[in-house]
Amino acid sequence: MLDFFRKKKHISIDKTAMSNEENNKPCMEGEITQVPLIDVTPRDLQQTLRGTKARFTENIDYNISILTHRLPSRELLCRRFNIGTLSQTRVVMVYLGDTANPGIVSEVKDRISAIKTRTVIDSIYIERNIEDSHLSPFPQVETTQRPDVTESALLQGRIAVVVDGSPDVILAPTTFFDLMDTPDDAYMRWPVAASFYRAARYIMFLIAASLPALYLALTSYNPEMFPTKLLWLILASREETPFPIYIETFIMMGIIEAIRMMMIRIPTQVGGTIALLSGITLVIAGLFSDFVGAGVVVIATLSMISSFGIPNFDLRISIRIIQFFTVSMATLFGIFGFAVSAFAIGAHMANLKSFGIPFMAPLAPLEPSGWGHTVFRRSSETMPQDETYKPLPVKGDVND
Amino acid sequence: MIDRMRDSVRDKLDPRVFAITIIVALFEFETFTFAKGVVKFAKQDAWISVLLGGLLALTGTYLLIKLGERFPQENFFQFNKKIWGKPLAFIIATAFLVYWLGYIVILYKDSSMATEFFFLRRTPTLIPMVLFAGVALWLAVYGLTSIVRFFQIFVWFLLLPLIFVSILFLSAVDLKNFFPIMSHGIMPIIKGAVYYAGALQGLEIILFLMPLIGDTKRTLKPALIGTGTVFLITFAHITGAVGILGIERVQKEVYPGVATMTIPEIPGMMGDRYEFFLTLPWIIGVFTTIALFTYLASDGFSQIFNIKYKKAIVIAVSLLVITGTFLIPNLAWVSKLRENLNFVTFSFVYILPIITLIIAAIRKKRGINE
Repeated sequence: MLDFFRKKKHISIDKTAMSNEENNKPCMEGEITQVPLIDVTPRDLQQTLRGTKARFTENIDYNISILTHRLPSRELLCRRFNIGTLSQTRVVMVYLGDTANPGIVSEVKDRISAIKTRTVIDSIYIERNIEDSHLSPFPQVETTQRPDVTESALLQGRIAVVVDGSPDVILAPTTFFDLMDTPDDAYMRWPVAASFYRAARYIMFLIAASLPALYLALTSYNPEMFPTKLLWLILASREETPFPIYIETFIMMGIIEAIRMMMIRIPTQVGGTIALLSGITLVIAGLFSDFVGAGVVVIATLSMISSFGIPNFDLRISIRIIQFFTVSMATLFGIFGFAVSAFAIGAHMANLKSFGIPFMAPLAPLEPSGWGHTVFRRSSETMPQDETYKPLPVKGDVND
Repeated sequence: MIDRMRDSVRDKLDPRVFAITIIVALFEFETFTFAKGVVKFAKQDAWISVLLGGLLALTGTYLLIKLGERFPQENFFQFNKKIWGKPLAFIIATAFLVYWLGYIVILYKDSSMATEFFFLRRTPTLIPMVLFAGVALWLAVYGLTSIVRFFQIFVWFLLLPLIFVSILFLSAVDLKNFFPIMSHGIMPIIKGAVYYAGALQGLEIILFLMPLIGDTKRTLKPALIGTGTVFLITFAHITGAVGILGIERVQKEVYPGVATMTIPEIPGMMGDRYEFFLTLPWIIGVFTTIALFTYLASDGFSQIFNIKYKKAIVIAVSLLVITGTFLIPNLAWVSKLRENLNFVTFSFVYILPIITLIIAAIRKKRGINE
C-alpha cells in the first residue's frame, strides 16, 4: 500500500518508441518556424494584466520556435523523442544545458524513454507516465500555455516537455509553490503588494481545504470553543433547520460542485449568468424555507471562493475533493478527526517528490534562499533565482 | 557522471532544520499541563526553576551538539559502541529503547485521556489512538528525513498560536502571586529545575539527526535557538499560569494550561475563549512527538537487533505501545508515571550523553570522517 506513493519504476522500455540519443542538440539548429507576433488561445486559463499575450499552440515546431526566439542561446537544448508505436508522436524535452540539474535531466529522459504506449493523444498522457505518483491528489508537474512561464521555468533549471498536438507544455520538477505561483506575482511592480496577494492565496488555500471541516467539527463536537456571541448567532440560524449540520454541509458542498460543473459545461456566454441565477435562487429559497442554515451557506460559499484563489486547475480540483475527506473525518471524529486528516495530508505532502525534489521545497526542506519568489516576492531588478532545483552534493544525502 | 549527479537530487538536510526540529520535538503534552509539576516542587518560585532548568537545557543542547559533532557520520547507537564497548553499548541502547517505549505509552495514554475529556466524550479511547498511530506509523515508515520535513510544514501552526498564547498570558499576570520569593529555600527550586529540564523529552534527537545534516559544523546556533525558543515560550506559560491562577489553583486543576486560557481577555475583541489556540499546538505537538519516537524506537530495534523488515517493526512498535496503554489504569497513575519519567529523562537526555562525551574526550574517540 505504502509503495503506491513511492517513485514509480519504469522498467519496460519500448525500443521502437525511444528517441535517437544523438538528437540532443541546440534547438536553434533545428527547423525554425516563423513566429507570429501574437497568438491568443480562445480560452485562456492564465490571463494576466501585464506580460506577453502569446500562447503555445498545437504545433510543436511553432512552440519550440517561440522558446528559441525567447532564449536564442546554444545552451537551450532539445532532446527529441517519438513516443507511441502507432502515432509516433513527437515529444521534445527542452532545458538549459548550463542551468538544469543533470540528475533531473537524466531522470526525465529515462521516464519519457520508458513510456510504452500505442498513441499519445495529449500531453496529459506523458504527464501521467512521468510523474512520481499518479495516486497522489497533488500534481507533480506543472502545465502551462504561456511561453514566458516556460522561459522562467527553464531559467530556474526546470525542464519543459513539449508534445505535438497539445498546447499544454509540461514543466518538471514542480513544487507546491510553483503550483501556487501566478505570472502576475512577477509582473506586479511593488513587491509588497505581490507578497500580500501571494500570502492571501496561501490563506485561501488553507480556508478551501479546512474551513468547512473545522466549522463542522466545532459546531458538532466543541461549540464551547466558539466565542459566545458567535455561538448564539450560529445556534439562532440553525433553530428551524431539519437536518443535522453535517447533512447541511454535504448538501451545500454538493450544490456548489454542481454549479461549478454547470459553469464549465454550458457555453461561456450564458453559463455564468445561469450559474449565478440558479445559485442565488437555491440559496435564497434554502434560507427562507429553513432548509439550510445561514452559517453553512456562508462557510460553503467562502470555501468555494477561496478555492478559486488556487491558480493551478489540478491543485484546485484536488483541494475540493480533499475538502470532502476532511469534512467526512470531522463528521465522524470532530476536531480530532479534522486534525488526523490534516496530519495525513501533511505526511503525504512531506513524502511526495517531483523528480527527486521534495514537493514542499523550499519550505520543507527549509531553503530560505528560495523564499524570495515562492513564499514571498522579493524586490529585485532581475528575476530571482534559488537553489531548489540545483545539485548540491553534500554529506547529508540520504536515501529514503 | 550522470549517476553521481543524480545522487545529488536526493534529500539533504540544512543545519538550520535543527531549530525547527527541536522546537517541534520538545513541545508535546506539557502544553496543557506544563505548570503543574514545576509548581508542585517550587511553588511560587516556579519561574526561577524554569530559568535554571532552561540554562540546564541550553547547556545540555550545547554538549549534545559537541558529542554529535565528534561523530558526524554516525548516530548515537552507532558511535556508542566505539566509546563504551559493545556489551555496555548494547545495554545502553536497550535501555534507551525501553525508555522510549515507556514514554510513548505514557504519551498515548495522556493524549487519549485528554481526547476523551475535550473532544470525543463517547468514543472508545482505542479509536483515536489507532487513528493517530496509523498516520504516525505511515510517517515513521518513510524515515527521519520525512519526519523532519513534516515538522517544517507544521511548525508554524504550532509556534504562532503558542506565541499568541504567551503574549495573552503575560498581559494578565498578577505579580502578587509570585511573592514571597524563595521562602522555601533553594532545594525545591533545584528540584523544580531538574523536573523542568527533564520535561523537555526529545532533545536526544540531536544525536540521531546529525548524520543526516550536510554541514555539522553549523548546527550549534540553530540547536540553541530551538531550545531557547522552547525555553522562552514555556517560561511565559508557566509564569502566566502561576501569575494568573495562583499556585493553589494550578495544583488543583487537571489541565492548568486550559484553565489559564479561560481568564485573559482582549479589550474590544468579540472572542472570549482562546482554548483553541492551545488545542491546536497541543494536538500537533502530541502527534509529532508520537511520530518521532515511533520512528526512533523502530529504528533502534532495527539497528540493535539487526532486523531488516523496517515497516514490520514500525507496525509492531505501534501495536505494542497501544497495548501498553491499557496497562495504565487511570489519570492518577499517568500523573505519577510522568513525574518519574521526567527524572528518568534527565538521566537519558543529559547525564548519559554527557558521560559519553567525557569518555569520548578522554579516550580521544572521533568519527572516521571527521
